Amino acid sequence: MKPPRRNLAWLAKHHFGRLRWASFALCLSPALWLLGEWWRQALGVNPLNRLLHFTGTWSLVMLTITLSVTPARRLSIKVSQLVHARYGKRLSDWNWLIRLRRQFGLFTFFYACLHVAGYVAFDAGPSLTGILDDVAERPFILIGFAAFVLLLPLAATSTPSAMRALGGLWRRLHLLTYLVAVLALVHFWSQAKVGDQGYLPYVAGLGLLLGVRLCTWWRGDRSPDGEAKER
Amino acid sequence: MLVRPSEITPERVWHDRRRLLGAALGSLAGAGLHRPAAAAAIEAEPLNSLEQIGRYNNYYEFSTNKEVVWKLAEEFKPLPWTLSIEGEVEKPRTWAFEDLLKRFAQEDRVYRLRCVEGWSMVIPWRGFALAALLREAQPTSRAKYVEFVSVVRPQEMIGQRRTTFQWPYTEGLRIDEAMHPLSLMVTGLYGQPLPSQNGAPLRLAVPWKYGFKSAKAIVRIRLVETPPVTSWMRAASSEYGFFANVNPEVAHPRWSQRREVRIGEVAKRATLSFNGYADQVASLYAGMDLARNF
Repeated sequence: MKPPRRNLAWLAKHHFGRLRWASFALCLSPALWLLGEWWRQALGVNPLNRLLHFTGTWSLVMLTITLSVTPARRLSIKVSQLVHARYGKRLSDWNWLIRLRRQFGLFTFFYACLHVAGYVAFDAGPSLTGILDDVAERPFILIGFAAFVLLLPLAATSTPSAMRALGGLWRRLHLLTYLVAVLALVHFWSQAKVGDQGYLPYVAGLGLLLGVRLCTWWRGDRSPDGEAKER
Repeated sequence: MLVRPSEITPERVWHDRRRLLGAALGSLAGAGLHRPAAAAAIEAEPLNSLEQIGRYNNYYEFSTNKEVVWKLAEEFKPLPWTLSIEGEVEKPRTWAFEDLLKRFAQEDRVYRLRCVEGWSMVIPWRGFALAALLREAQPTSRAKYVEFVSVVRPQEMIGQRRTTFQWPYTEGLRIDEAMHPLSLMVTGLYGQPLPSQNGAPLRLAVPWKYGFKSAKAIVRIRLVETPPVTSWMRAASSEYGFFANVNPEVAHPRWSQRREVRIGEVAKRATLSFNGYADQVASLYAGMDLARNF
């Protein structure tokens, strides 16, 4: 019997620990970059703005990556069926991607925490009345806060033991991610000034991913052939 | 306009000079304001550097991104320049920019600039009183408002190729606001000719209003009887009113007006009513509901 081909699937399967560390480093690198800018006092003319936009944008990017995991797996399976790739040759069943998804989700939360911390510490005071005034006067801040609060139970139930304890409820609870995505987009969109269209790529990206889900849900095929059950 | 390095007043010298002036009431005294207290207050606030003032510009004619305007503005050729004064005046006239410099004595004034986006700077402008220019034209009794029209040059101002606004950018003041001694026609900063990204060669500085009221690269001043519709009122009338006085009590949907970040600082500070110029200008609005007339 021939030894298995050492392709990407094999690599992901046998060196998952390293893959996870590499992905961790990659996800952390924007934060390190920001820290470096802070250290060198290179945050630009308006450091507070840089801090808030950078962390908020990266939280949204991580959320987009998190939400693209399942469509990416489905796509990979469809593609491998199309080209009649045999098991082991096709880009794995991409289960390793599901195993990385928790990390992406937690990094979404991590950048959201930095975003909220920056806002509370430097923008709002820190003062409770400052925050309350903002929430009352500016709906987009209330929407942003709602998105952040919804992330809390998701992050708290990300451990294997919480997943086991919650069972089927876990999956339903984590459907909240979609609501978070919509709220985060509205938050980002409504703070953009007239004439500024920087939010468009994010609206397009997340909109596409949410659209794909609506489609699959509408058609009722929740789990295509050959897809391993999500854990 | 080419300026030899030797002609530029270095920032350091400027600061030294300012310290000396500080003892003698400071630059605001030159504005004919007999309020040493107010002058002393702004004297205590550190100036923003030429780099900060020149690298963070809200100037949609070039870009909505404040940090790239200075680069895009290199395409702009401010001179030669003319300014026409027209409408409800006895003596309409088109001024060559050089003649304005000759006719009106230039003075240095340190003003706070508060942007509607929640950031602020302290800037040493150079210029002359708008009132002096208007008096020269002799406004008629029907001149109730002043409209400022900025230049249209999509060849040199890349942002004007987008149609976010109907170009030209227009702004307006009530005649008593325009005649107020704080209203300044700006021709320079830090004692140097105005950089393109700051509105060269001729802009307005109305320090008690949000920055967008201080139109840049002005080519026409029209005195009119009815309130002019400004660019920002046309673009988003629910967010931007005609008066746009700095007012921490009137909220904006996107930016807190209670606080501002002073460029050079990280944390926000409280915003002052009329941007700290209430003593000088609050009387202009006596009896007006400023929450409605925002």
